[in-house]
Amino acid sequence: MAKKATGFVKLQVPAGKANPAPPVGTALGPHGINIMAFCKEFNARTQNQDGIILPVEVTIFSDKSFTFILKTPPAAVLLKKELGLEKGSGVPNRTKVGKVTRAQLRKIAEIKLPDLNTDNIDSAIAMIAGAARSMGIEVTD
Amino acid sequence: MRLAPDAQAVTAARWVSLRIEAQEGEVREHTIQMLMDGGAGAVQEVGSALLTHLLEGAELDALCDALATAGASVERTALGEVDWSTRWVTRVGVQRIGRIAVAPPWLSGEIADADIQILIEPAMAFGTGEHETTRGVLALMQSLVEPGALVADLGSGSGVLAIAAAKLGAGRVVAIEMDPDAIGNAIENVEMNGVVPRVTVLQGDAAALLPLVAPVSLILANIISSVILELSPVMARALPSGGRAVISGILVTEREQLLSSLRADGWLLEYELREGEWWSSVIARQ
Repeated sequence: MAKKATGFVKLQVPAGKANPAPPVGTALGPHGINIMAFCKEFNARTQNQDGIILPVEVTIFSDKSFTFILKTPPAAVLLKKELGLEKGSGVPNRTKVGKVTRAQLRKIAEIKLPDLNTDNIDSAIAMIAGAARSMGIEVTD
Repeated sequence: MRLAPDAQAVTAARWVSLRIEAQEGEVREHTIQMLMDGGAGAVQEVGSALLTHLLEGAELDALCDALATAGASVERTALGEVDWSTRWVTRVGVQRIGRIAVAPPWLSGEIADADIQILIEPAMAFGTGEHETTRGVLALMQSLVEPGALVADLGSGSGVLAIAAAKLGAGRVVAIEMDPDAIGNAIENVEMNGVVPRVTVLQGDAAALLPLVAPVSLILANIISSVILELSPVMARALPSGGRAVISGILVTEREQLLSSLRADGWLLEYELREGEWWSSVIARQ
């Protein structure tokens, strides 16, 4: 018999750095799950991602067991990390904050692919290029 | 099942909750980044709102000012005494691993028949005896503690493994932990289990502290694969030839890669154990 899901919590947590203090504790505590077990597993699964902020979706079941899905970081976060940028441009059509190559776009597209509504790497690259332009990042070859 | 007498709030620190409405897109990502840079440990997404908790203080005030300047509308609420971390504690039960039984203090009667009894106050530290990784080390270490030996427990958390080593006959155990939140709990547990003179709890980095207590005859390390790998040379230098380490906190999927790195550092795999998605093992210095 399938277990009944009784709770769903969305969090953004730095890779490898989950700890039971708030807000992880406050978000998961009321569901009665073992917070430390969540932190231990999250940290083990994300330790190699260098502290980047990761969206994570936790599903809690009626027997207080839980499972979680890691999402890929937002395209903007990946672009900023790849290019070493502080932030995007306030006026993206006029002020450019950086340049991204096709190879860099492909690298990010490959990371994002599991969460995009396409299996085609070229469509994924086009989406990342769109996100880059909207942040004032120039796409070069 | 009996419940905890009263699960008290773990910390008296004053937490403040911040709730910010932020639409999808770069503004939302930027707001999340600002919260993280401003000291938030994580951010919860509740519909379109972002929710986080921070300790009262200058850093929080500065963050609120910065958010206001960026045009965000922030709802700031002081949290009262909230039982946010201890609710699961009432479900902590008895764990039996070979000769060892671990229980919270209010269930001490239920493990009176065990050869080795360990009481752990469930709190903010890792290691209540419930987790697969703790059980893995407790299982593997039982035949490895020589009477009178000096044992090091790296990343000791609640102190459960250090206490187990002392009760298995170690002469002296050094428990090393970085997390300041765990130290108080570890000391409390060491006292409660009557192993005070033999277990020393040290706060700090194992890479710096282990060489100071070396040579040791056994190392316990339930941490995380990347940290174990970082500590591998330090551990090897702290052990005599043939000396062993019990390692855990490793996912089954990380086994191959970790083993090849450890082999390159001169370790041999002696024994391994798998529970669920976690892998624990005994490795020996060549």
